[in-house]
Amino acid sequence: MLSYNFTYELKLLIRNKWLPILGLLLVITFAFAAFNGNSRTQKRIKEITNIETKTELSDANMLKLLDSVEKGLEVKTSFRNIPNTPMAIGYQHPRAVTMTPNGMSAIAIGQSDIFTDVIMPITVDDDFGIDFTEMTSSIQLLFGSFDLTFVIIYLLPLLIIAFSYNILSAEKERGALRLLASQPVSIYKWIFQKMLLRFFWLSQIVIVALVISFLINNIDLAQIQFIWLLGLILVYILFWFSLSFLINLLGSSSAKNAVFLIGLWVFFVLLIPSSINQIAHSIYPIPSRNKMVNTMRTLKVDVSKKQDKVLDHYLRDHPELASKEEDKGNYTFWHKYMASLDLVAQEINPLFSLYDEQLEAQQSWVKKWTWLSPSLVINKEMNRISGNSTADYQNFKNQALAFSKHWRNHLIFMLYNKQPFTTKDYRTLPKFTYKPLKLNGIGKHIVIELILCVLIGLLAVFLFKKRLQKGIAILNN
Amino acid sequence: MIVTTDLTKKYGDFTALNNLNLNIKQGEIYCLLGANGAGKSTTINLLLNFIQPSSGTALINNIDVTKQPLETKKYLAYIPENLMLYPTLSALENLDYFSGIAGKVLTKSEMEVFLQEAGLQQDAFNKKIKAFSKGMRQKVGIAIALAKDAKLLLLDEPTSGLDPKASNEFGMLLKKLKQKGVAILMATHDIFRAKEIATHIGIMRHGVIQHQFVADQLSLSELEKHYLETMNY
Amino acid sequence: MIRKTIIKELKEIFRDGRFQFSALLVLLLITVAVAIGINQYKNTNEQYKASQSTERNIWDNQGEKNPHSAAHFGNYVFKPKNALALLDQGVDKYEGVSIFLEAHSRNEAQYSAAGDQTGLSRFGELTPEFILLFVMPLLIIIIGYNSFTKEKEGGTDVLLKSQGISNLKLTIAKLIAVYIPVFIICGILFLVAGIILSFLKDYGAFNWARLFSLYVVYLLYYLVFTQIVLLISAITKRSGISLVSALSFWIISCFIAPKTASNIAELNYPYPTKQTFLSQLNQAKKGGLNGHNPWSKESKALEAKLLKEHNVSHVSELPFNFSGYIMQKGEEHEAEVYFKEYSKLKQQFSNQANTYKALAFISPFLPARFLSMGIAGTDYESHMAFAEAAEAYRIKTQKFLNDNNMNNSKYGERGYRADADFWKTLPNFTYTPVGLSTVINHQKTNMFLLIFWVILSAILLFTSTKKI
Repeated sequence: MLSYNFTYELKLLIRNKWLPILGLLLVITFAFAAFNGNSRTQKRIKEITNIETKTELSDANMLKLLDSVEKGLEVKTSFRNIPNTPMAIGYQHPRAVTMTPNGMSAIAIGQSDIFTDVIMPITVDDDFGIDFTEMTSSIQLLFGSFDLTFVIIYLLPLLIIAFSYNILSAEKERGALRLLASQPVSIYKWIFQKMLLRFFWLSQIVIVALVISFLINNIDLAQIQFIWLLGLILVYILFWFSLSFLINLLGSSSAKNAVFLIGLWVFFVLLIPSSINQIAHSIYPIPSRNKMVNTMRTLKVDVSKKQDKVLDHYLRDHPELASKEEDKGNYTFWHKYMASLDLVAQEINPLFSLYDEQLEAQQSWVKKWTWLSPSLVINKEMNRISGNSTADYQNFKNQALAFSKHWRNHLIFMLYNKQPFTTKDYRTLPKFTYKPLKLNGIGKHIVIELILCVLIGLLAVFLFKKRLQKGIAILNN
Repeated sequence: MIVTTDLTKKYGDFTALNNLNLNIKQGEIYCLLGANGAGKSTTINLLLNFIQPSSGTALINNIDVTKQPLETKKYLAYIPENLMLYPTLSALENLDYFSGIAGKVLTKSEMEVFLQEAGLQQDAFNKKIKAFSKGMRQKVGIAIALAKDAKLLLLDEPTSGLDPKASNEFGMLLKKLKQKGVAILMATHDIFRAKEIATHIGIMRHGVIQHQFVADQLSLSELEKHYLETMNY
Repeated sequence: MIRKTIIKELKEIFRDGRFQFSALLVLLLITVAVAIGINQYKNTNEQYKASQSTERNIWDNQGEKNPHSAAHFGNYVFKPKNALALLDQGVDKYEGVSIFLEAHSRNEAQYSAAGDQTGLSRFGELTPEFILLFVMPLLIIIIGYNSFTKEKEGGTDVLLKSQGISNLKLTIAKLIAVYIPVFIICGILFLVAGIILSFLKDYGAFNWARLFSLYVVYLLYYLVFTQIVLLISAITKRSGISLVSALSFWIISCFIAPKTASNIAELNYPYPTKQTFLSQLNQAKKGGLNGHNPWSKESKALEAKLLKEHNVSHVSELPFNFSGYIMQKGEEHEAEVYFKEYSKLKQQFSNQANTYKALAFISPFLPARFLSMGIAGTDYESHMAFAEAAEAYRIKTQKFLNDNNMNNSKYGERGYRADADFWKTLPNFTYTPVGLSTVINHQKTNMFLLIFWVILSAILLFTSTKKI
């Protein structure tokens, strides 16, 4: 039976132009989506390279200047720009703290349009003043991007629905089912084979479309992540086919099947995500940012009022920075400034981290319920592969803040030690390298979804057999 | 070939078929006459296991229809009232497909012989079914039955909507099959056609065969009289 | 005849299980969404009021201080939430809620809600606008997809025609029947929202005219969908095909078109990245006057000019403090640089907006989307209006502070401090959201586009039903 179904299904799909249309549609949408993802990635890479080149250039200038100063040559610049103090370095020569997109970044815009990949922390700024948001047109944020994740999570299921909603009902409505049912074959096996074949052809087209879209956008195919991506996409396609199989076996008319399947689509793709999101907000509300601003301001006022005591407090907490007795009173504006900065930071950090904690709580809640919708699971995993998920940006933020602290402490140490900044010190300046999150557990998700598909299939067959016994499956509605 | 014992189908309070006892042997053509809702289609649907009987049994080739539905379907062929095939496939392709999924592998020349035998004109073999009339589609249906080497043919109103010539051709075809030893059960409104081809005739009403005749033993007008009497009863 | 048909159609619709289920679901979703929205709105509004007064308090109680220190200490302004954000949040969640106003730099609004949310929020939220813009059209599809096909499949079309009803009348009747449920549901939603909003305390900017305009926009939007769905039903033979085609139209209009448009807009008129924008600003600022750098070429030129004007030989002889003067001039120069750079950004945004308008022919969603958030006062223009008001206030504040320095301190005087009461004399920041007539004037093109869709879909519907 399979070989006949195979031959004739293919003939039918080609003759009613399904395969060519699907093929064309998928290649175009995939290519456009990959193009959009890739343009974003290229823009980000260009930006990072730009910043890094600029930093290198400015470093080279700085070293030249420093060299001249050290050699006692006259330099043509205002004394404020001479980089021979640690604060001048901290103020005027920030490091570029960057998060380079990974090789699969093009598959999902993710949060990369909201958050920036580049920050340049300045020693004299508050860490909580560092703005991690990117400058994107808010309309674009509102509409979102036409990327591969969108195509796969939103559009692909709809194509599958259009491709398979009426496999059984169309036979019934045309009347061919009676002839078929009089043959010595079981109907659900026959539909199963048809579904399987349509799944087979669609996956072939998707693979080809994906490969083409990667090739024309110059995205590297030879990476292990590509296999994971394929696995996720295929299991997602299978999930929608298994739902369609269920509805085909249980449904009556084509139109009803389509309504049901669209209902499922709305449920899995729109309702579950927005409900989970909404509940996460309600359980772990993000405290008011306005209130935070108020608190921060009040703190700053307080600190500035007791400015003279601030330094003493600071030095008590950091005895290693306190200078020798004879230098006392030699502290400059910078000493006081950095000390008060530190004090404000200490006071406000608990409040500041509340936001991260709530966000993390939300995230883990979302993670706990993601399994409710395979669309969410696949979306999450694709975002992880792309390295543009919220978790990735959170990771970058944490590393960047840690670096900023490290950088400040490094220079503050020099400041309190009254160490001038020299060419030698340049080499020991802290450097930032972004460590991406580990990518594991994708296989587990694929297997779980696969099991889910099998369960749906078994359920469908079980319910169909019951209906057969009642005799309502083959005759009419 | 067909043996039913007290075959009954109820839908709630309504009895669609009541204690039907039929015995159709090889080489017999049994015509079920009756108005709409008399229970003719119910009988055929029960034999095909499309619906489950409320009580009683149906055997095809001595195999219980409800217990081994797939086994019984190996021996039978069914032509519904409005036989639909795949419109974008040709006559040959439809024949190949339906035989194929039933497990029969046929060569092209074998298929052509069957189509010829079913009376389809040669030039239509490779044409898509889309353009076929009902009569032509039925011929393909017969070819499928022939290819299957069916021992039993179940026909539901096969001649309704056929023009007199096509109807006549179809009758001739059934007679040929009868000679081959095929058992045929045909539900129909067409008294004339029934008288012409049947070996046995049953008149149904309210799910019960009210009268049963051997076709040779009465004339067309007698048959008509009996039919009308039964209906007006 | 039309009335009879409408009644018959409505009976069929209301008896259909699919309609009952989906209408119930929509009502449930709306209730939840409005409840969440009101709660959120109340919190945000209370918080806004509290923050504003706290901030003012902090500013007023700075004590004796040098005005320029106060300028660096700066002040915060907070964005009020528009009343109709309850129905359409627009881009609100992607824009910051507070702006830090300080000397020398114009800051972006900070702390957008989206920055504090998980990636899931990009899937959409259970808000009234999600239901109004996405779910209601879906409801129209479920009500109307088989309006004509069911007659064809059931064979009743021939019977209807034999009774002598004209196609035009039949179509009008069906149109009205399919439209009525959405008209009512939407009407209830707007009425309830209006009543709630007018009963909430301290609701400044709410007015019924705005709400009514918003209602009209949605009614037009739904009319387009109803007409398109009926058109598809009229030209297809089977309900299944009709449904799938109508859904494709929905997907293309509401999901694919906006995303594609946003990508095309970004491709043709890209926004600078934050770092690029900042470095452009710094570059532009570098070339000009800087109040903290009296040694620069520009400062010296200004000094020379001033000395000549006042006919004195040294800045200390000027009738005001030169430091304060140059600080103010530097501020003015910087403000100009910001204005220029932000104008470029604004130009880029308006180029993008034109791209959306140009692509509106593939989707009635686009003009409806922009109109909706425009009227609700939650669009990008509204945010820009706020940001510009804040910038104007910043410039005014800086002048206020520099003038104090200029007129009350002497050149070279380091320890000058303004009175503790001085800060209270700074006027409050006021921001009045853009008025309805301005919005409508601004959104003219989108209004035309939406009406164009209404007319186009009507023409298509009535010409195609002529010969069914």
